[in-house]
Amino acid sequence: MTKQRGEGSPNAEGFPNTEGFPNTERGGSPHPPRRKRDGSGEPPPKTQAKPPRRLTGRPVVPGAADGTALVTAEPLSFWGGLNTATGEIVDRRHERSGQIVTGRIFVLPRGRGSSTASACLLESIRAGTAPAAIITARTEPVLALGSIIADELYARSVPMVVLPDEAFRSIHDGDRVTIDPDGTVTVNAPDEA
Amino acid sequence: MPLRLTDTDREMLDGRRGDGARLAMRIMVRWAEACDADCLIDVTQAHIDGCGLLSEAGLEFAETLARRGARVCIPTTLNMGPLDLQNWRDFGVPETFAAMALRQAEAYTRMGCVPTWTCAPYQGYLTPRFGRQIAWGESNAVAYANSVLGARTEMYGDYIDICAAVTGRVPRQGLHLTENRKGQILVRLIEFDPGALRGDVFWPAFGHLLGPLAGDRIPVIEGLPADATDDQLKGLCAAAASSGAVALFHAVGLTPEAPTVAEAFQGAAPAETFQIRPADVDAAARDLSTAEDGSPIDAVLVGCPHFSFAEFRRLADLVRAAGGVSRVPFIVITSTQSHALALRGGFLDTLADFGVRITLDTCMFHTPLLSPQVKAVMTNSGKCAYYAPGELDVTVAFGSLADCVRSAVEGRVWRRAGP
Repeated sequence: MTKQRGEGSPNAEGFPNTEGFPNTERGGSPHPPRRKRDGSGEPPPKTQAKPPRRLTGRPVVPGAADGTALVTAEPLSFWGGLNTATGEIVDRRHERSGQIVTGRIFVLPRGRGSSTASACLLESIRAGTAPAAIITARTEPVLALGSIIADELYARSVPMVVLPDEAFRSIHDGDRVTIDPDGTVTVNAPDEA
Repeated sequence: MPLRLTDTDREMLDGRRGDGARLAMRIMVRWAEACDADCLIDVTQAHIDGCGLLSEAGLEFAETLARRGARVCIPTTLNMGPLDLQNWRDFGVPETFAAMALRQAEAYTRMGCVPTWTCAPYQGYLTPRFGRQIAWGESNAVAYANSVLGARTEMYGDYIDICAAVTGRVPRQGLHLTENRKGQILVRLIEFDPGALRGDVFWPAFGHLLGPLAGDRIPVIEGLPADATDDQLKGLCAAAASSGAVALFHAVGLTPEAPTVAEAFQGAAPAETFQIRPADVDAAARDLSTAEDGSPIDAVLVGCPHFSFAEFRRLADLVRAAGGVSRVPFIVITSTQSHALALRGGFLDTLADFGVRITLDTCMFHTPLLSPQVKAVMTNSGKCAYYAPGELDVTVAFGSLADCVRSAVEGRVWRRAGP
């Protein structure tokens, strides 16, 4: 028999509720967005390249970063899940196992498991293998701590932003993402050649 | 939400209480802001988890704090560390690893921590009292402190734990607040034979089941026997905090915040109710094993969390009755405190004759304890069984302490049928 860590947990998968944001889920908002009669709410005319989208998040660890998005829908435990020497996702049950997080905008719904994750993020920042920034769907105190200590110790941090669920889900693997210190996330879809 | 600070908080933040306190308070304040807390509260004691993992950054952080003069301002115990400080040479730990681990141990003791080096701090020195606000790390200890002792702590991991110990402050949030400690789901144990609930397989197996069942909700358990021992509760806490994130449970008639179901829920209704039958716990026990009955084992590991005096006594009784010696390394992991009691109890010769090797201060997952030839282990710990396949790259068999002794004599997995 093989054990499947994390599976079977009611919270191990899917997207948790976002903390600190109005519910933007369908039916959850008292004022769902509607197109205005004067047409100002119409989608912009289609052009060759999609215009960048601006998303508003909460800057948990404020900072600026840009890079290519590495997106997963699955939570990851940094302890046992990330090789801090190489930046590789080494949790062999994880859907992005084998990917390198280094320099990427790592988009994951949340962390998982041990509080040793903060030590792992700190060590990966020291070793230069950390992501360029982390975007989550809920506040991750354990990950935030690793980034804050790295800033105090090495004057190097990984900016961290929490996005509301809908905005979080709108980022796709390979998007070019820019993060501003105020929590604004600008997303450019990759050029379709 | 802006974070409100007291004059003392500001003195630390401004460096008027030294550079070490300044660094710890800067991290605490930035972290409290990241957590969206409104203010900080006092804690009366701390237990440091961050001294357990060995990494260059972790060592550098501890040494930086110590060099800048940081000192703990509340009684602070240390979790297990990455090294058996007395016997590491006997276990073949590489010199370079040991040198780093000794530097880390020195940094934490220089900051004024009590060198307990144990993951079962509730069975030793400075056990926290009911209702006290504390800052503890180590998942099994956090679950035990909150649930069994009724002290109040969040999970303080690496390295906010030492910042809490140096500042004496933590964000006002989570399990520190009464309203966040109320039960959320009801877990009823039904159709159990009273004997089954007293067996030592039940507790870790039930904990293994409870972790994923509870998720991030606080479970209220009905049907646990009121005479549960500390070691049984230790096994439950460790397993539930490994397979899940249980930091607090209530057990009706057993734990201090749950004299009745209504009090455990603080008058609210359970969001969900689960009925747990013996077959469910049997299945959880099976799920903790990846090795089959009868398959060979290369080592036995017990003492996760650290072995207590009572467990030493029980093991001595079992090996006396075993009618043989262990064919494989039988490793007991414990603290110097429990070891001292076992020595005075006169058990150690009996255990040594059987083939028991004792290691102090450390953890099988944080120190190089097993030789690479070890491919299959047996344990009585739900936590060890949960982590061993991934962390140690071994197959694991989970059973009672008696099963572990018998299996050691036979050199293969032997388990009494049933839990």
